[in-house]
Amino acid sequence: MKRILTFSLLFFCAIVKGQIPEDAIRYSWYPQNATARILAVGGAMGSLGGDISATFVNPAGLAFYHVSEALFSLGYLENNNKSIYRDSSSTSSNGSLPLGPMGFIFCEKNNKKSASNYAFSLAFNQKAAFGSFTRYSALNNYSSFSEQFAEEYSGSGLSINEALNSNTPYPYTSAPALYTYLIDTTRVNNNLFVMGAPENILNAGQALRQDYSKRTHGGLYELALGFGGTQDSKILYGATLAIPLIAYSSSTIFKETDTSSNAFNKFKSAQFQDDFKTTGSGLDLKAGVIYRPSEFIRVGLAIHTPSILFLKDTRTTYCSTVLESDSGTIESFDVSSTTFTNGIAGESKYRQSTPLKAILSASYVFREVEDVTKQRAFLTADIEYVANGGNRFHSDNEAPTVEEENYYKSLNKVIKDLYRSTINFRFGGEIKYHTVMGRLGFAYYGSPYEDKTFRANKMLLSGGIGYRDKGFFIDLTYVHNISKDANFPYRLSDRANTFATTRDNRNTFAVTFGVKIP
Amino acid sequence: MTLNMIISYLDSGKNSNFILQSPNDHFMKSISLILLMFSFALLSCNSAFKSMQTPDDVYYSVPLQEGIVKVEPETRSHEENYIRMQSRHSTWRNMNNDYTDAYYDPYHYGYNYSYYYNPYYYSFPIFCCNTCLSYSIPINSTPRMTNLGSYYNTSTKVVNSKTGQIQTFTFKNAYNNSNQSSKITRGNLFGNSSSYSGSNEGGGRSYSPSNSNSSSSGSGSSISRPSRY
Repeated sequence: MKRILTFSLLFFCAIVKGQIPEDAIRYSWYPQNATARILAVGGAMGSLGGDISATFVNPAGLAFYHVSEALFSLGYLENNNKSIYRDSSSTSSNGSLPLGPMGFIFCEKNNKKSASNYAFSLAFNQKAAFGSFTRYSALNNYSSFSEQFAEEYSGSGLSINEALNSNTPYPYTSAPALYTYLIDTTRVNNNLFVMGAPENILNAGQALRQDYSKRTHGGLYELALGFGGTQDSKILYGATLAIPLIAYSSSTIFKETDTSSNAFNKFKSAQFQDDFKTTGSGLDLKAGVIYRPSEFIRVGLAIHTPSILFLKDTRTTYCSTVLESDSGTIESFDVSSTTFTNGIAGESKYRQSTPLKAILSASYVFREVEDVTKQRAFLTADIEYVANGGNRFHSDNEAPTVEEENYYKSLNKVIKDLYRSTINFRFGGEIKYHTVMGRLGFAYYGSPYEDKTFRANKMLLSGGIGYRDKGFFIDLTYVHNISKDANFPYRLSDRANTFATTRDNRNTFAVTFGVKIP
Repeated sequence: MTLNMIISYLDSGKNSNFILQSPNDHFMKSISLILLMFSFALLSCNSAFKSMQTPDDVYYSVPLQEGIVKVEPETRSHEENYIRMQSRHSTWRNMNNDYTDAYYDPYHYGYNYSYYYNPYYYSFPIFCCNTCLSYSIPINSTPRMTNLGSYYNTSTKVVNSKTGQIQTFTFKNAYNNSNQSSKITRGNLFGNSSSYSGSNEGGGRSYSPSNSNSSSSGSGSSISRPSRY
């Protein structure tokens, strides 16, 4: 009961908590996934209706259904990534099989002449596909990955013994770095400092070879129950109760190597691997209305409440360091974070609230007639507002510490300052000749960052064909997605940061297959 | 429980990512099963549309001005409603039950022989062992934290190569993305021995532990660093 009350309060207050700022936009900045038919018209469908995708965009569109149907969508996604890091270019690629919308539409009655109409949908969809592989490599003469741990530990006030304790607040970062001597204390003029071993190379005016690779898997899924209805076929309304399901995993490996031939400069190489997995579920509500001021014209408005997600992160890091002594002796150290978390991977529970979303849409449908031989075409467009800065995180551990609560408060402040609201556009059209259809579409998703340096955006070009006859339909679509973003391998607060610019070229092939149920 | 099962399945990554050289058998079986079900549905449904057009609900909508047919709600007699209610729930049946002897009552057959034939009766107490305790290793619940100050990094400290003094430069969007960068160059944050006086003026990653045990080779803790040569 207590959990339900908390859940309800969160639902309306939109309180959120998170882990690191980059986690915030994972569940809010992604292109819309839909059936192959809707993907082909840029994903625009806020006012179109008559497609199961309406369940996830504007449930009022379900009221256009007069005949029940069942359908299934599947895709193949090929991701080609190009990264530029410190003037060096790298490429990587991977493939995945994202799911599309699938489920059933139940019509209240198959009465095509009635002005009033009701329809329900039971649908499942993979809203976002997180499968990707990013890799880059370059020389760096300015900063080291180890400096983030030196920063963290120097400000902790903990002794080395305290930092290595099984209750350490830094089991994934500073503790492994200290254990393997990637960072250590050093004394200058009788004052103590914390220093990363690779800094010896940089302070000597030489460069480090840095290699970064990150593999991600999983997706944001949604199980939804939608309803759409109308009394007079002029104003259509609808609502969807959805359960978002999160399954995300990430494995990041960062390696630094001494590029000099000096065998006495105290550092040879280091590798840090960070594996974490996020799982959880939540709840959200979508409501919408479509207005038909005259025949052929449809205007839609949909509001998506913040998704309240109850998430759990499971994390393990590995650190290995190879050092050179003053005499040239090679020493190797390695450790897993489980050494500091009682032998098992650490688990952190938290709540996240995704931002509010609003979609304004309009469509023009040539020939809104029942006779399919007279149906000709449609044009549709969406304008979508997403308040990315509205992402919030909060601890969901049973007994969160004061430090943990303070961290989440600060995190929410950073998210508010770091991210901005975006206006996204989607539009497209279809031409129909009896049983065959052809489609084209375009979509643009703006940068979620306040800092204009990053120039991030997503641009999608799409096209497809469809066939509908003898009680079934099949749609095939190709989408080319160009996504630009910034990737920080690490962040420092006392030095200028360095980041990679990434350009993902995603080729998606989607197919939807369905049957009409008389 | 069901949600957890779904999440566990999704989390396996078997349905969203795969290695191209080794397609996942479990995933392929699931897809095959779904496709088989759809094929069956297709065969059973499409026969109804052989002689008529396949409707397209994206296009078709009832005209606004004409052709609208008002559908009156279906009316039922009181007796019909009562029969419907009786057929759905035993409460309504029991209100007018002619079977006074439960032995002949078709709705209570076998329920009075020590519940022997009652399919809902179980003679042993059913309990859940919620209070059973088992020892478990405490799980570290530290969040995935980062230095949030680094997201506001608009200043950077460098050492003046001529004077050796540490200086802080503040400007917006302080990024160093090139090894040829002349705008921001790396400085040793300790400063040199002549310029650094041990005060806070130079900043840097100075370290003040909470107790004096800050040697490089920790001892007395449950976890100690390996020793070095």
